[in-house]
Order: sequence, then structure tokens, then C-alpha cells
Amino acid sequence: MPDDILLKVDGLQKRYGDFEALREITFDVGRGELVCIVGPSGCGKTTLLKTIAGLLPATSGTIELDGASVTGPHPRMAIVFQEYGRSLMPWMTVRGNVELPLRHKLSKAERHAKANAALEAVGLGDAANKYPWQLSGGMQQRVAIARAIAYDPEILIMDEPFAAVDAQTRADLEDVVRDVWEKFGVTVLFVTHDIDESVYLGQRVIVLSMSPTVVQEDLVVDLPDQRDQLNTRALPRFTELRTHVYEQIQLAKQRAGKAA
Amino acid sequence: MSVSETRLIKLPPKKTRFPKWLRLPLEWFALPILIVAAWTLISTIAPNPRFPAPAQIGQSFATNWLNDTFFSDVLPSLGRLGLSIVLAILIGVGLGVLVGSNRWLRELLEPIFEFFRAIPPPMIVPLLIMVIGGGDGMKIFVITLGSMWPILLNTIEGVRAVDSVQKETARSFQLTGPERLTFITLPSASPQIMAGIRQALSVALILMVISEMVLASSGLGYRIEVFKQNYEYAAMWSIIVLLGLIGVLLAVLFQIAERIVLNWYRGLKEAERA
Amino acid sequence: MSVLQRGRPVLLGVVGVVGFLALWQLATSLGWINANYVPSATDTFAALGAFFANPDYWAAIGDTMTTWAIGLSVALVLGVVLGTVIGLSSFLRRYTRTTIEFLRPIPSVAIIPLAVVLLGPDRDSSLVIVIFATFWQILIQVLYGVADVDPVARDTQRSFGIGPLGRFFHLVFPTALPYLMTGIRLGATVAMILTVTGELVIGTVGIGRLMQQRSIAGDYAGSYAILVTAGVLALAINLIIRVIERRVLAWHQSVRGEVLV
Repeated sequence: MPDDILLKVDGLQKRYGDFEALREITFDVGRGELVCIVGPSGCGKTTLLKTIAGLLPATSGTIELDGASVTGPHPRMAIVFQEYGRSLMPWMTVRGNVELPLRHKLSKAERHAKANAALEAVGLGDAANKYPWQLSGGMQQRVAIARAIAYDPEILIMDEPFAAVDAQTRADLEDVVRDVWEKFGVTVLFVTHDIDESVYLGQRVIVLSMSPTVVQEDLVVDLPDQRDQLNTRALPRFTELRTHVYEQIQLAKQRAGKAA
Repeated sequence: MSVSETRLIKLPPKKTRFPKWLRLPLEWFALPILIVAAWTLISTIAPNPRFPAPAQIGQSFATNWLNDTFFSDVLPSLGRLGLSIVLAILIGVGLGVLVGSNRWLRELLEPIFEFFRAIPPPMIVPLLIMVIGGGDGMKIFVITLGSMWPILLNTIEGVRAVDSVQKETARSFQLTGPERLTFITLPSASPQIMAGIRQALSVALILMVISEMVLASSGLGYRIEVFKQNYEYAAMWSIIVLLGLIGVLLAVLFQIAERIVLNWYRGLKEAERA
Repeated sequence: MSVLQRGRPVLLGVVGVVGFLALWQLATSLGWINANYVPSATDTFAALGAFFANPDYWAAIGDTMTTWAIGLSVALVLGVVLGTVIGLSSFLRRYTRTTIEFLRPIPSVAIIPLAVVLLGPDRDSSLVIVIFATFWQILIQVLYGVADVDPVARDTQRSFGIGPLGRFFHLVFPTALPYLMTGIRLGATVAMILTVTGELVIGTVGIGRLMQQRSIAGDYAGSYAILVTAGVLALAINLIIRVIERRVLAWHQSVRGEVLV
């Protein structure tokens, strides 16, 4: 368990009427950690993320960011949504999109500088004056990541951001996330359905059960800090870990099957 | 086993008879010139006072409109039209944003608005004259009131349909209310709003002419009445030309505005089609 | 969605209408609006009720609908024929463009004096302005519809050996159909506006003329009752067309788009 806890989720429950989407979610995220959340389809990953982000109200339980309770969208949280096409504003340029959340915080020159730095970090230094629809899906998602980074958050929350992107682009984007994480020292909470991705990216992987959802396992990924697509995925430890996660998820699905 | 025959579809070579710089003007002016020439020919061979030659119409146009009538009747009419349209846009968009953003308000008021929109605008002219009397203010009021409904209803619809992911993005990044309005709501609704303005423009033009015909003191509509009563055919045709020109002017202005406001939208749609 | 959730918009809508009527009634009885020229809600509906028993009222509605129907039909035929012919030929499209863009914005009302002088102050001149205005709505939509043919679909059909006539029925027509429906819907509205305009300005028989007569005679409640009638008629037409549109285009919903012209 981490010593310097940034995000504390305690006994989080989310019900819709009689339907209990999340029963009892408890975990911590340490400052500067990259934690992945993975689970079977339909386990409520997106619901969990949106609740943590303050977009949905929790039924019970607490969410604390740096000691302060989270009841609505928090100014120190930045979110990267799955639907990048609908999250970026098509009437603004890439620069416009990245600078938009900064308008009420910074002066024009400061915004400009931050946006440039963020776009460089995701490899889109040249695309600042293009429109999102002129870019490919992968590049659009990089813009969304740049926007989140420029916002200077304490924690970056990513909701299955690469689900709608092809495999090769996904590999590139995973490395972008790790680069940005190392470079800006931001804490990352990354939700995915892709088991390999969760192990490749995360320092820890939290496995969710089927609904009513609880934390099934909180597992440390003891892979080297320097990772790359080719070598890390070839490591025997990688295979052990991903197999273990896969087994956990199968177990989660079976338990749900039995309960049904 | 027989090999099936494949048919080669030969595309005919592109025939370019005309040099490039000549082609566009030719496409633009060939038909209109042809029509005017044919009309001139026919009116020389078989003259009909009701269909005067284009030359006569042109002359009537110059005599009637290209002198101080322009300043005493045409410009004021256009001024009223312009002001009314601006008012219709301000009220339509302003009220539309307000109602469209609030689900209760929208469900409460939309049916009433739809009914008002359904009433053929020219019908309100005679009724309103009685209540408010004549004068510039009344004409502006009539044109604005009659033409604002498409703008209002389209704005409501556009505001309602703002993408939920964009709204969540705005919330999560702590955008202020004015920021949300300026950078998300209005741009997102702008295609709908522009469509509403387009419809409002044609209604406004009709109302301008009718309100002046009925009130008969000055303005284009008044002039139309005078010509009608005096059986001045060439003048009547020149009216059609004049109003056609005004209509074209409005259409061109609108297209310019649309090109600026919806530049991104056209690009987006093209990208989606590809 | 629960019944309550589904019914709420309807309930609120009804509340809105009732609220408006109440406000109207209040405004006229309390003198906020000059009651000499604006009748109260109750008076208006009383007049409407009286109209229901009056054969002239129904005759006027019939006249208006007749003018509207003839005008719309003629405009439809002309618009579809010309739109298809021009739309299918790139040459014709390019050479007619400026002419269409100039003639199209001419407001029908400008033609009224000429029409009246040529054809007399009756239904014929009304029809001229109705057809003129409606024709353009339909023409533009058909032009865009016919031109919107997906080149991939066209090439597919050509490679299967489907000739021009076959392609017309299996490709051009289905592609243009949503646009045509939009054109009919817009055209129907425009036709109604111009029909009433003709009745008001030219004096053709119909509800417009009836309203003029009533207001000249000082029967403002009657005039407003006819205003309400016109609104209801227009709404009913719009509703019917939308229902037909939805049925006809049930298979096409994802592809249709109203052309922003």
C-alpha cells in the first residue's frame, strides 16, 4: 500500500433504483502512481470512473482527493474520455481545444506555453492549427491527452481511452501515456478492458468483479520501470502477470454466472 | 471451363472545347443572356404590352429606382428589413438558448411556439395594424414577430441537442457558464440556428413587402400598389427585378455569413463522408 | 422510460397551452392589451364555435385547401421533372446554376401585381404565386437529392451490368427520396403561406379573405378565430406529412439530412 495517498476511495456504492452497479469499492492511489483498473465487460468500469470524477453522484461511500471530499467535478482532476470524436470541439483548432479549459485560469501567453508543451509531449507539435476532424483517431486521442495534461491536474483519469483505436495505434498511445506520466509526474488512473494493456502500463492493477461490483484483487506489477512494447511484453513475468489477471477475470465471470 | 468475359468500361475522354478562363463565365452567363436575347427577339416580332422588352424594363428600372426614389423608398425599406432581421435573430437566439437549456421550460413552451410558427405570417399583418397603428415601428414589429419563429425553434432544438460527451467535458474541466455558452452551446447549435435564419430571411422579405402594401404610405410595397393601379407594366416587371436583386443580396450576405460561421461544419461533414 | 416520464412532455405541453390561454384571457380582461382590437380568449373561441355552424367558414377552408393542393401538386410535378432532368446532367446543372440562384430568391409577392393584371384578381393569380414559390423549394431539394448519389453505389451497380434505367429506379430514386420528402414538407408550408397571402392581398376566396372581411366588419373575435384555424390547419398538414415521411423513409433514417440551402 502506498504511503502518500492522493486518491482515497472508501466503500463506494452506486445504485440505480434497485440495481446495484457498484457494491463496495475500496482502494487507494498513491501520489505519482500509475494504476490500472480492469474488469469483465459490464462490470461498471465506466460508472466507477465517472463517479470518482464527480460526474455521477455516489449513493454511499467516500471519495477523497488529497484529503478533500469529491462531490462534483474536481478542478485538480482531468479526464480523457473514450469517445474522443465527441469530446473534442470540432469548431476549434487543436490549440483551441487544448487551451479551452485554461481560459479561466491562465493568461493568454501562459495558455499558449502550456498548450505547446503538452502538444510537444504527445508528439503533435505541428498539428496545433489543424481541426480535430482533419486528424486520425489516434491523433485526436493524443489531443485529448494533451488537453488533460495542459490542465495541470493532480490526477489524470482515463476511461478506456484506446478502446476505439486500432491495435498499432493503441501500442503507440500506451507509450505516450507512460511518457507523459514520467515527464509530468502526474498520477494516473487508467481504466481498460484490455488485460495486456493494464499489465503493460500499470504499477498496480485493480481487478473488478462482475456486478454487484467489488474489488476482486489489488495486484502489484513488479515489472521493470523502463518498459517498451517489444521487450517488456516478451518477459516471462509479463506473461505470468497477464495470465493471472486473465484467470481472475474468468473467475469473476464464473462467480457472476453462479450467482445469477 | 470457360473464362468469363470481363467488360472494359471505357470512360469517354473529357471534352474541353473552351479554354479554362472562359468556361466559368460561360456557365454563369450563357443561359441568362440567351433568355434575355430570346425575350427581346419575341417582343420585337410579337410585341405584347404586358411583357415589355428587356430594354424597356431596364429603362423603367432606372427611371423608377435609380434616382431619389432609391433614398426615399428603397433604402428605408431595406433598413427596416435589416433591423427586423437583427432583432429576430437576437430575440430568437436569446430566448431559444434560455428555453432550450431548461428541459421543463422547453416542454412547457415548445407546443405554443410551434403553434405560433404554424400561423402563416402574412395573416398577422392586418390584425396587428389595428392594434399598433402604422409607422416604422409597427412595420419593424410585424416583420420581427412574423419571422422570428424558425430562429427560435431551431435554436431551442440546437441547444437541446448538444452532445452529452461535450457537456460532460465542459463540466469536468470546470468551464464557467459563459464559457459553456460561447464555446460549446452556441457553436454546437450554430448549424441549426443558421438553418432557422435562412427560413426567417425569406419570411421577412415577404412581410416587408406586404406590410408596406397594406400600410400604403411609403416604401416598396406602396410603390407596387401605385404601379398596379396605374397599369404600368414595365414598372411592374422592374419591381420583380428589384426584389429579385434584393433577394439575391440577402442570399449572398447569408452565404458569406454561413461560410464564416459554419466553416468547421462543412469540413467535419466532408471528413465524415470520406 | 416509465409512463410518467413519457407523459411528462405531453402534460407540460398542455399546461403550457392552458397557461397561455389563461394569460391571454387575463391580459384582455384586465386591460393590459387594448380589448377593442384584441378579443379575449373566450370571445375568440366562442366565435370559432359559431363558425363551426357556419357553412361559409367550411367553404372558405375548402377553398383554401383547394388552392393549396392544386398549387402544391403542380409545383411538385414541375419540380420533380425539372429537378431530375437538370440534376442528372452535369452540363445542365452547371449552366442553370446562376439562373436558378437569381430567380429563386424572388419573393412571390413581387409577382402579385403582374399576375393580377394578367389573370384577374382570382384563384388563377393566387395559383401563380403559390406555384412559383413552392416550385423552388422542391426543385432545390430534388437537385441536391439527385446529385447526392453515392459514387461507390453507382460503380457497384454499373459493374453488375445495371443500365441507366435500372440505376434510376434502384439508385437515383432511393437516394433522392429523403430530399424529396423534405422538399414536400417545406413546399407544403410555403404553399400554405402563399395561398393565404393571395387571399389577403389579391382577394381570392379562402380563409384569408374571410379574415379580411371579418376584420373590416369589426368582428375581431372572428378574425382571431380564423387565425387560430389557420394555425391548426398548418400544424395538421405538417403533422400528416411528417407521419408519411417517417413511414416512407423508415429505412433511410440514418442517411437522410435536410439540405442547408
